[in-house]
This record gives sequence, structure tokens and C-alpha cells, in this order.
Amino acid sequence: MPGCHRTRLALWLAVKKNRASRVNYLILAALPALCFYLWSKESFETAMKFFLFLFPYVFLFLSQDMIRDEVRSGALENVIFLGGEHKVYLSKKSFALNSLALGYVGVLFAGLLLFAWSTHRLQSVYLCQFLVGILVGIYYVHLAGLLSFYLGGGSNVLILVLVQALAFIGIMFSVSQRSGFIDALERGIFPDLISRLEILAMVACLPNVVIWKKLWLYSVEILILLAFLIGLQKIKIGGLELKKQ
Amino acid sequence: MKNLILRTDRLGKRYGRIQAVKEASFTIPRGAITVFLGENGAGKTTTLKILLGFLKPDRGRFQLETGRIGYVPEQPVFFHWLKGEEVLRLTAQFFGLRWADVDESAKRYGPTLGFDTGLLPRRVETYSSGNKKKFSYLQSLILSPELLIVDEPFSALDSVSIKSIRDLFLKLRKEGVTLFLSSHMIAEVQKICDEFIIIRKGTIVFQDDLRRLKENYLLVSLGRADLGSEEVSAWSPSWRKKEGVVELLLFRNLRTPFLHFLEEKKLTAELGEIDLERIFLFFA
Repeated sequence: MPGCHRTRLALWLAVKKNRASRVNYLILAALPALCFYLWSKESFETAMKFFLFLFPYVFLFLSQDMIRDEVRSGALENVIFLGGEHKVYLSKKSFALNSLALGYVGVLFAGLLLFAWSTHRLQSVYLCQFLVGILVGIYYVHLAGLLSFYLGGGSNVLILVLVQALAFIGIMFSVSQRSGFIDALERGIFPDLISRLEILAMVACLPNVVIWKKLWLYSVEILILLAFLIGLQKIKIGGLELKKQ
Repeated sequence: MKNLILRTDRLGKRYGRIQAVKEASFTIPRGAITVFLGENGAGKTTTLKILLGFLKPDRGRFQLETGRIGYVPEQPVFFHWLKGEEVLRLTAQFFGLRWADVDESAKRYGPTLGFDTGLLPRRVETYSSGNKKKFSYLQSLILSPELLIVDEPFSALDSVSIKSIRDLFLKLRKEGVTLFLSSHMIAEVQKICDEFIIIRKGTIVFQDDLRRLKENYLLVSLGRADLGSEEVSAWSPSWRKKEGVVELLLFRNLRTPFLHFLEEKKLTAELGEIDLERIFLFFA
């Protein structure tokens, strides 16, 4: 069977799965609702800023239960997945989820861009931020995908959000000790080794910071981490067996 | 030599410290119903999963002479968010089948399987275990497989459905389909079995054509006979001694000389016809 055909089927399955989840509807609806709220209460720029910061989470939330639950459910022990096709399906799944998320956020972004263009508020930086946001989203899909080899029931996504929340709370509670780092983050310049290491760790854990603070150089770090994750996932899927349920 | 659809050569698979399959070498003749027998944990499902590509063997190899394979698992599970007709559509798309042909196959096999096609617009998850099993048969049959592999063909089915499935197997065999059935229900599979394979502790211990075996051999039980292994082996290479009772497979042509031997030794024996259950217990 041709690869493009398999990709289409993986995409079809991803759409069906996500359409069956009411939680996903809620999460997907939350993003435009929040943007609309900020737009009405603050300004279009604020709404756009939050949209660009938050949309990579659409990629993340669609990546629930990517591997473990499907393997454990036994649904892959089907005539469709004979001869190792279960591995092909799982490897195409990341691409399918990325496409699905991109389709959704792309429509929202196009709407926002259209408004910005018609009211002469269009800024080229929006496009840069959107492109980096896609990279962050893809990074999330692969990070959540790797975690889903070990964690089921949506906990692959939950743990990432939890780590980000803890990191954020940690920074907030240690502002006085970290004032140097906060200043550096504000200026986008990291003069010493410690602050450079801190920003590297932060980008790995909360890559949305690259979009928020327009730290374009750090997109390279996300790219490197993404390549590493894709490689690791490929190895893991290559050795995946459907053992006893 | 028989026309084979599958040949395995010393397949082996280990799960951590457990050697699930050790020496699985067997063949499956084309167009026949081959039954795969073994106790719980003997390695049947692991062997099937290796053949189906769900598991990678640690050793050995196998050669399949067809790409058109159907598979019905013991307890079929489907993506819980899909309806029956969506699963069939997915299957059709995946294998490049026309929906009209699939629909025709569903209408053809649905009644034979006792599957109500009115269930198709519902999610498969809501089906009863028996209907899930029948639906799994339907999913494989729309592919017009050359080889149909079934793990526990009669599990979750009532006696009427078991009869229907048995009749379906015979019909499929008539159409040239090869069936490979892994089952515990010896009494049921015996009614349709051509060839059988017995696996014990991960090793294939016996394979033969059931009719040929019945025609040519007798199962002899010697009771608590005080015989040396050389004396028994002289009559048959297939013998065993369990709790003092000697049992052996005796070639029918040796019946008369063997009875003379018993007379000489002042021994009594029970000479019985072979059936699948007795042969399974003999090797188990």
C-alpha cells in the first residue's frame, strides 16, 4: 500500500478519534473563546499575542494516548495492521496529528490575519511567531508521543502541563534570587553561562517562551530537540511489539 | 510434496525469562483446515502473533506464500470510536477494495455468520462479545483471504453460531481458502480438521493429517506393563509412559504380530481408534 494512502488513513483515524472526544471539543473551543474575550476586553494585539502563545497547546492536547493505550487496548491486533503495519500506522500518527492541529490553528490564524490586514494592523512578526509556534506544536506532539510509550490515559499530556506549571511557579517564587535571569529574559540577552543554561532548560520545558519573547535563535534548540525526539520515537516504534493484552 | 502456504523453521520467542516459543517448525498445506492445538500457555497465540507480524521472533524464520491473509483474534477489539460500517470502510480503503464489493461481501457473509448487518451503523464497542467475534470474521472475509488465521474460532459464540461458523469453514475450504485455527475446543474442531499440529511448552511435538493417522494407526494402552523402553520402541517410535501406563501409536498393519507379542508376554492391552482428543492427550 502506498505511503500517502496510509498517511491519509492515519489522518482519518486521528480525525475520527478526536471527534469522538467531548473534552477535545471543549479544549479546541477554549482557544478562540479566550482570544475573543481578550479582544473584546483588551485589544486585538493582546488577543493575537495570547493566540500565538497558546496555539501550540492544541497540538499537545491532540496528542493524548498516542501509543500506550492503543497498544494495550488490543485494537491494533487487527487484520488491517498485519505484517508490521501497526508500526507504520503509529509512525504516521504524529504526522496526522500535526496536520490536524495545523489545519485547526491555521483557520483561526487566517481569520485573525484577515482582520489585521483589513484594519491595517498586520505585522510581519505575526507570521514569524506563527511559524515558530508550529515548530513548538510539532515538538509537543513528538514529546508527548515519546512519553505516551510509558504513560497512558492522557497522563503524557498532563505531566507536561504539570512540569510547565511547576517550573512557572518555581520561577515566580524565586523572583528575588532570579532577578538577573528575569531581566535577561526580558531583554532577550543572556550574558553568563548560568543564565544561558537556564534559558536552554526553559526552552526545552516551555518552548512557547521562544514565541512570547521572540527569541528566534532558540528555535534552533527546539529543532535539535525535535530531531532527537523523532529519532528516538522511530527507534521505539521500530521495536514495538503487540504483546499480551 | 504437499502444496504449502506456510512453512516455519525453528521459530523462537522469549518474553524476559519465559521462553514462550522454543522450536516451532511446521507447515500448513494449501486449501486445508489445519488445527493448532496446545494447552494454555503452550505458545499458540505467540506463534500466531509472530506469523501475523505483531511480534518479532528471536530466532527462526517463516515463509508465507500469500499476501491475502485474514485474521480473527480470540477477543476482537476495535477502535472504540468507530462504527461497524466505518471499520469496514477503513478496511476497504486500506486494501484498495471497492465499497460496492465490500457491501456485497457483507450481505453475503452477514447471514452466514448470523451477524445482523443492521448493527453496522452502531459503534462496534456496543456489540456483544459474540457479535464482535462475528464482525471480526466479516472484516476478514471481505478481503477474500487465501489464508484465514483464527485464534479460538468458537470463543464467545453460542451453539447455533458455532455450527454456522463450522459450516462456513467447510464452505471456505471448498472455495480453496486455507484455514489455520488455534483452538481449545477439540470436539468442535475435530469435526472439520484435515491437518493438526500439537505444540507443547513452545515446541511442536506432532503434526499429521488426521484422516491418514486414523486410517493407519491405533492407539494402544498397555496398562501397568513391565516393559523395557527398547521393547516398546520396537513396536512404535511414538510411545509414552505416564504413571506406569504405557501408551503407543501402533501402525495398523502390526496389529496381529502385536497381539501375538501380548500373548507371549501375558499382557492385556486396549486397542482403540484414534480421535483428535486422544491424540492430543497422548502428546500433551
